[in-house]
Amino acid sequence: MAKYNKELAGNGNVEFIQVSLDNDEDAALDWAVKENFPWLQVMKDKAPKADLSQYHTSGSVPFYCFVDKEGRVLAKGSQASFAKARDVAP
Amino acid sequence: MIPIKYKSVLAVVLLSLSVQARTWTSADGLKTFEGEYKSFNQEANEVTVSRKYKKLKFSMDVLSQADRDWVNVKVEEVAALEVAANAPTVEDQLASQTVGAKLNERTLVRLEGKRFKKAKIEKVPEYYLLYYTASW
Repeated sequence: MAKYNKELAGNGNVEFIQVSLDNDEDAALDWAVKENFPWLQVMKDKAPKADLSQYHTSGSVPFYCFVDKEGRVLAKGSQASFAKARDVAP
Repeated sequence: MIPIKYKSVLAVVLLSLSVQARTWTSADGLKTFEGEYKSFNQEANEVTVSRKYKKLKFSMDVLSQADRDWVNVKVEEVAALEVAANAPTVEDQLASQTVGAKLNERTLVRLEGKRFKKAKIEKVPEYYLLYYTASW
């Protein structure tokens, strides 16, 4: 959360989207409420419709993927993805 | 990027800008008359004014300097608002993206209080940082 607030909240070029892999939406909600997540989220059942499942190429979580608006993957992993986000900050 | 809901407001503003009552004065300052500004034809250098349901056209040359200045400001205001009204909306621009086109109120939620509510992207990002995670 601190990293998001520091590096992404004010970055107009990047939208941060959480893709929840919780099967139980209530569990996702409880966690979101507890942490007070400010960002947009896609629930697991909506991820295919949002065409976001394709980018989750790791079998584990958390997993970060940085893509451009046309869906080209520019970075994977936390460090590389946040570095890219910093690179494209206005 | 003008949200759709503001476009109708802009249209009303444009309309109101184009129907403003004014006391017009001749170039020599001797004559005045009341009329509503309607439009300006740049090619003909003519102002169209409405008076008692009649449309009258005047060359800018017969109007006072104050009237000419007023018309020029009005033309610029209307042009700026037309540009804003015709600018593509956030929704239009997202729809043209491969990623953004599928991220909308049908797929996105945001925490509001203690519930998830349908949400949408309010800017036009060039990039997306996707964070795959779970509570477990």
